[in-house]
Amino acid sequence: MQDKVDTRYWRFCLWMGPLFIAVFFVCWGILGDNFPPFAPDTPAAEVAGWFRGNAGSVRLGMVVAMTFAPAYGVWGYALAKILEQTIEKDSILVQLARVGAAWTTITVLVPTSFWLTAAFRPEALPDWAIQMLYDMAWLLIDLAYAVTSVQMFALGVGWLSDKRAVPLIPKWLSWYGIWVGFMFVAECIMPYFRNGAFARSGVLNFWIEFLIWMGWVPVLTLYAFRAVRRIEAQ
Amino acid sequence: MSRSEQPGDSGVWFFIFADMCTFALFFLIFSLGRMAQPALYEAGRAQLDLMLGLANTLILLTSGAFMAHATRQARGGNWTGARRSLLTALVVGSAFALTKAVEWATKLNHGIGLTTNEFFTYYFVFTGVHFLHFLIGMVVLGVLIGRCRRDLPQADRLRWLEAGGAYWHMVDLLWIVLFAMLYLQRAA
Amino acid sequence: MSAERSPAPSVTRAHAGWPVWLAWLVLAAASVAGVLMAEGLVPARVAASLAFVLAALKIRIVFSQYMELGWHHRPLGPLLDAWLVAITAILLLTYWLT
Repeated sequence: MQDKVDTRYWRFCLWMGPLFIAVFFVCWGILGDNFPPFAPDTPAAEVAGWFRGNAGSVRLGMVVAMTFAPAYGVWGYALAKILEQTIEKDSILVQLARVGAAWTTITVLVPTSFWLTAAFRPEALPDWAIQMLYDMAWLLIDLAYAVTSVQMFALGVGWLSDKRAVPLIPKWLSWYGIWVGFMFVAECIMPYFRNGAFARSGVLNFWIEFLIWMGWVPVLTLYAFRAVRRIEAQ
Repeated sequence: MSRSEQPGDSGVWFFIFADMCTFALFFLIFSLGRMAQPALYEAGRAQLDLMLGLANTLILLTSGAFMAHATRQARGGNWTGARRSLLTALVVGSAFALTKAVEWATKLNHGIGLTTNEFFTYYFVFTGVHFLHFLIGMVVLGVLIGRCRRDLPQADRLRWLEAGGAYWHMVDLLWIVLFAMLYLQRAA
Repeated sequence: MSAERSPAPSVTRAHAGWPVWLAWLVLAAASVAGVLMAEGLVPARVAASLAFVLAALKIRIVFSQYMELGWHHRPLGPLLDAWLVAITAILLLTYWLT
C-alpha cells in the first residue's frame, strides 16, 4: 500500500488561480482600463489625458493587482504538486511547471508597476512619457508570453504521460494548454502593428490571446480539484 | 473489421480542431478586410505567383498522399514500407519550404513586406503562421519515422502514426483554403 | 501512483475508401482546374466561386481519404464538416457581397 500523499494546503493554493484571474480582471482590466487597452495609434494626448483623469482608480487597480500577482505562482506550484503524482517528483517537467508559473508572476508584477508609475504623478509627466510607460507595460506583458508557455507545455506534456486508465487531468485539457502556449507566439507580430487584428488591442493579440489563457485557469482548477480528491483516495 | 473506431488520438484531434478554428477566424478577418477594400486586395492578389502557389499545393497534396499510404501500410503490418513512405512524405514536403522561401524572398526583394498594405500583412502573417505549422509537421514526420523502428506495441505505434498523420493532413487542408483565398479569388 | 494502465487501442480498423493514388489524382486535378479558372478561362465570379467549392470538395476528400474520418466518427466527423461548411459559407458570402 503506498504512503498517503499530504495534500494539506493544496486546495487553498488551487483557489489562488481563479482568485488571481478575478482580481486581475477587475483591477488591471476594469480599474486600469486595460480590457481592452488603448490601440497603439491612440494619440499620446488622449492616453495621458485618461491617466490624469483616472489616476486614482488606476493606482488602486494596479496596487491590488500587484499584491495578488503571486497568487498565480502559488496556483502554479499547486498544479506542479498534482503533476508529481503523474511523473517522478524531481522530473524536470515538474520543475519547469513551477518555474514557468513563477516567471509569469514576475511578468505580471513588472508591467503593472509601469502602469502604476504612469498614474503616480501624471500631471508632472509629458504626454509622450505617459504613452511610453503605457507602451512599455504592454510590450512586456505581451512579449513575455514564452514564460507562461513553458509552464503550459510542461504541464501538458507531463499530464499526457499519465498511464492511468482515466488520467488525472483529461487529455483534451492537456492538449488545450499546449495549444494555448503555442498560440501565444502570435504576440511576436504585435509590435509591428498600430491598429487592426494584430495590434495589442486587436481581436487576435488581445481578445483571443487573453481569453484563451484566462479561460484555461478556472477550467484547469476545476479538474485539479477532482484530481486532488482522487489522489487522496489512492 | 470495424470502421467505427476513430483514428488517432482524441487529444491531438482537440488540438487540431482548435487550430482549425483559429484559422477559420483568420479567413473571416481576411474576408472582411477584402470586403472593405476590394481593389487593394485584387491588386495584391495580382502580384502573387499563381504557379508557385499551385506548386505549393501539389507538394503538400503529394506529401499527404505518402502520409496516407504510410498509415495504410502500417495498418497492414508493413512497418518497413510505412517508414519508407514517411521518409518520402518528409522529402517531398520539404520542397514546400524551398518554394515558400523563393516566394517570400521575391516579394521582399521587390520591397513588398509585412507592412506594405493590409493584403500583404495578412498574406505574410497567415502564410507565416501556416509555415510554422508546417515546420512542426516536419518534426512530427521525423519523430514518426523514428517510431516506426522502435520496439513498441503495434497498436500504440499505429495510434501515434494516425495522430501525427492527422496533424500533417491539417497542414495540407489549411493550405488548400489559403491558396483559394489568397491566390484564386479574382475580383469581378 | 496508480498502477492502472490505459487499454491499448485495437488494430482492427480497416479503411474501405479510395486507393491513395486516386485521391491524389482527384485532388491534383481539382487544384489545376482552380488555377486555370483563375487565369481567365471563365468569368471572375464563376472562377472564384468554383475555386471555393473545389477547395471544399478537396478538403472533404482529405477528411475522408487521407484522415479516414467519416460522419459516423462522432462528434469529430460532424464537427469537421460543420467547420468546412462554415468557412466555405464565409468565403462565398463575403465574395458575393463585395
